[in-house]
Amino acid sequence: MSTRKKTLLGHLDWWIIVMYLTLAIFGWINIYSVSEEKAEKQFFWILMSSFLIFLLLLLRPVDYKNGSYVFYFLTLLLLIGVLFLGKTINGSKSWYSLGPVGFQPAELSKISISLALGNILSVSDTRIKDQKTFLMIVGILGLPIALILLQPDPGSILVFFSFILMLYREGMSWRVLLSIAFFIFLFLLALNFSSWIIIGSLLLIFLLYLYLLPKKGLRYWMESTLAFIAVCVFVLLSPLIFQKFLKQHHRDRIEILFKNEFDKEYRLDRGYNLLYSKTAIGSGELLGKGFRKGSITRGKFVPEQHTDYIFCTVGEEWGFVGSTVILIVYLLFIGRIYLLAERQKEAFSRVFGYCVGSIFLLHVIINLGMVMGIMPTVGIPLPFFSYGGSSLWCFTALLFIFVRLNASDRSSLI
Amino acid sequence: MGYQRKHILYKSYLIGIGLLLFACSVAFALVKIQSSAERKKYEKFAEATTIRVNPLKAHRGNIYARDGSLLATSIIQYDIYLDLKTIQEKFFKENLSSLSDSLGNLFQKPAIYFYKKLSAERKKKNRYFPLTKGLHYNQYKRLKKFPIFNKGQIRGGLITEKRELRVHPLENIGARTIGYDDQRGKAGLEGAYSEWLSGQNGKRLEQRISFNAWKPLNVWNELEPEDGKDIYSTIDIGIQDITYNALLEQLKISNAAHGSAVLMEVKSGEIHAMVSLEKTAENTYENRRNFAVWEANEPGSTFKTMALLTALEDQKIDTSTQVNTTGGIYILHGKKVRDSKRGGYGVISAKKTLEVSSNIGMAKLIYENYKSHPEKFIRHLKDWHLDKKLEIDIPGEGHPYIPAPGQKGWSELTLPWMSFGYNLKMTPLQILSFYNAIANEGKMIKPLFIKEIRKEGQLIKRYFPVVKHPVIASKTSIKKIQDLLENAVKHGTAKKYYHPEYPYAGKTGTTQLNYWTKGKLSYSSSFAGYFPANQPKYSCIVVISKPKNGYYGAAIAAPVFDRIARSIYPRTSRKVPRSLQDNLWKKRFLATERKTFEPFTDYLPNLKGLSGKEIIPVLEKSGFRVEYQGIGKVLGQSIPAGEKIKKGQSIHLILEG
Repeated sequence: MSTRKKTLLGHLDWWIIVMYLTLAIFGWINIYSVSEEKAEKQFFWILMSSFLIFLLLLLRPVDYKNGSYVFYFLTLLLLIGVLFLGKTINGSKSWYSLGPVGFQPAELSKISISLALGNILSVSDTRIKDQKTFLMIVGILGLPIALILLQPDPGSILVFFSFILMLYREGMSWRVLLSIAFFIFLFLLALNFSSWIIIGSLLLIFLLYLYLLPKKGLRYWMESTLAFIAVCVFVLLSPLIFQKFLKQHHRDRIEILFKNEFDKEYRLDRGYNLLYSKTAIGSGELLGKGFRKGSITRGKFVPEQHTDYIFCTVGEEWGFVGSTVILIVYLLFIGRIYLLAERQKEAFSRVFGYCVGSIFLLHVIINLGMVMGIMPTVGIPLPFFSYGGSSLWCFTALLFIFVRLNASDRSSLI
Repeated sequence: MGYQRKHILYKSYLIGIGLLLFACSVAFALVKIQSSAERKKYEKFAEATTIRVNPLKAHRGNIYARDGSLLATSIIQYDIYLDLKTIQEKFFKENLSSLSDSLGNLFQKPAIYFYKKLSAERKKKNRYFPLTKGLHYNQYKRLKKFPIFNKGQIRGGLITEKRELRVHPLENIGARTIGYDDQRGKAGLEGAYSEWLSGQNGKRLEQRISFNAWKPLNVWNELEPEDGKDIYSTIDIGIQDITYNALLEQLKISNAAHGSAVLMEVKSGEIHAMVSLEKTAENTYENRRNFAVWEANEPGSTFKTMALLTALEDQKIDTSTQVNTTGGIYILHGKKVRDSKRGGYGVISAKKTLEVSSNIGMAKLIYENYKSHPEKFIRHLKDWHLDKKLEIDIPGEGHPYIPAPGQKGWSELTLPWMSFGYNLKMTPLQILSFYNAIANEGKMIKPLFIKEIRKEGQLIKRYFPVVKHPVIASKTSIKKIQDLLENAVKHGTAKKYYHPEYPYAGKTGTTQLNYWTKGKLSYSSSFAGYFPANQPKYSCIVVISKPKNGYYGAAIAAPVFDRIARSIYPRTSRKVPRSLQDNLWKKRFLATERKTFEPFTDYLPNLKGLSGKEIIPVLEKSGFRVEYQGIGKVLGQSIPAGEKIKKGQSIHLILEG
């Protein structure tokens, strides 16, 4: 046991661990700046996560691989359960409330989906382009997505786009990627313009396309027309989706991006968070105001500043330099995960590594994007930075499962 | 395999490039937000929303009576709201029972009531639950020390809102005379001297230090608040009380719609009492509108004094000039002038005309002397400023009206009808100021409501009587008209009130209010005069509108005047023998006692509108058991008026409060 641990410790990737510690400690410093009370609690969670890390490192890669399906179904059960037993917060049932501790099964689904996908794709000779494999992947992704949409919690769904990046790496066609981007584009377009204008212009493009392309027979015509009709239906449906699954505050968050945030109409409610968040970051200038000296941070102007809006504190108190350093650390961190993933001999570890890297990436993109107003506000945390036990534990688990897989990979002789 | 590996690697590079692109876009956004141009925009906004100008409210000054007692002052009241969401669960649960106990103790309610209410409101996450309003400082001080509340607003959820409340210690006796200056508008003394009373609000720059907390930006205030000044009014609480009670009693007896009474000091023009009361839906009389200032009406017979003085001054007539009042009806240009006495007064002198208040006599005296030159008659009225407002400070003064020949509506009939007080309009206060001028040997003074303005005891401004007209008529004319007015009480319409020990001079008036319409006539009864008759000290007017029981000025308004005069007589400088003085007071009390303290032996009268404080002891003295709820005036009685009652029977009264 002791020898194994020694070899294990020797094979851990210490770069990753150092960067993890950097982010967690600097994150904690910023939480301390916002609220001492919250920082005390977060300190406890960080300490507790070392216990979690210890447990995670004890398990062998084969345990993760074999247990992945069981874990996945357990997560599904939890996701179903939360629809009945969950606590309603802001109109959605996404949290189990266990006394003082809240627990979000959607967080857990990130880990279990990553493991399950790794398991599927690790079988030799599987290709994503095979219909059976593709359908399995869609099923594995689709079930939790459907359950989370029922809560409804559209913010968490966004994170699932990170798996597409992994799938792309594992051989999914660029056309799928492009068509997803196209549908997102259409969706956003449909919010700002009337459906009929979009369909009209699409029809023009479609006719031009048919005219310019060489004739390829009736079947090709039929397929193209079917695809066009599908697109049109989507355009017609997207405002309905917008109405049905997005609540008023979600819609406001998207709409505010197209409005002037200084406008009196918005700045006191819908635009308030964004405006103050930008003001806080802007006031930091090059070097920042210094630790615990940010007036907007100290004044608690930005709601949720200890969680989703923690980056405001970095911007205000550590300035451009501090923010850029953090950004670079994140880039190195995620890049390092991708690099290690690429080096894995085992397909399971590689796929899992890509999932982990992409999940971190998407969180960082969406969080920084929303704080700075280049993306709609989605309440997702900044990994290792934001206050909150369950998100910290989820990210830590993701990272250290991968660290464990990586260590075995390096120690194996093959 | 080689191809595939290469292919996949290129995908990894693509992802890497995407990562870098994103990093660049974030860095770009950072630079953009932190660049000086953008930043200034945000900074400007932050300043605009984080620095505010907080008005510092100045304290409103007090209003004092002549003797220095308070008529109006401001007190701070506290409204308490609770933010029940902000209190921590455990802390709330642990302390709720003790808090409920304390609240129950303070508000005299069972603790369980608060326990249930607060628990329910907390469940609803109410962040602005109104707990109570209008706490006094002492109560607020106690409440602040209660468990949970002692943690303040953030942890204890206690939200305090301060409110300045204006209180009038006199309450109903002079509510409308003191007036108000608030969302209802401006009225009375409060409204008239609002500029002095309200002071100047200050300003302070404050910086937002947290979402809901502000701190002063500088140690000094941008503009120090300047508290309002105190007004020392001419109102005399004692006289005001006498006037109020006298008027109230008569209004109840005559069941009138409304009435007013004003008392003025002859030499200085100071208004010592001003009361206006009107009947409410609950049959009580309240001080709501200021009729004395506002209501310009046809004065009726009280105007005969002015008309007669004109003729005397122009030496068209003398007090002995004979006039034939015929048989009580005199037809002029096809219209009938009537006298109240059936059969008429026959041939009488001008003096007698005023005493008996003969309309025909007045019409003949004036019409025959002025019909060729009515403007001469009008000229006097204008010279006395009777066609203009008095320009007193109290808002809402009614506009008088004096017709003139050549104007629209002027006819042959205008002048004769004017002579007995129709076809023109005057407010009670204007009539009073004229009678005061007669009492003041012809010197007409504008009514004065305040004496001094002071701040922290320091004199700021002193008000002096404003002379409107130094001499309204020659000394002889004034003397004659004074004699006439004294005789009008002595031998005339008000003779039953004449008493040699406290003689007063004055004129009754009875005006038909709606003589131009068909249906039941309503009247306005008035009495204007001054006392003591020889050395006038006070002038006074009483106007009672639409009495239901009786209507003659002599029967309705004169008793009020009489009661006021008798009560105040001892204050006049005229030396009244000590024994007589005692006698007077005794009489006065006996008079009141007889009226209100009459024991009820067989049947219960209508108690509505009577003061509970006065009536309950009487009822108890008469041997009834009285139960009551509330305070103030009686609104309801368990046994209807007129019902037979026996000793020992219990009566339930519902009072105002």
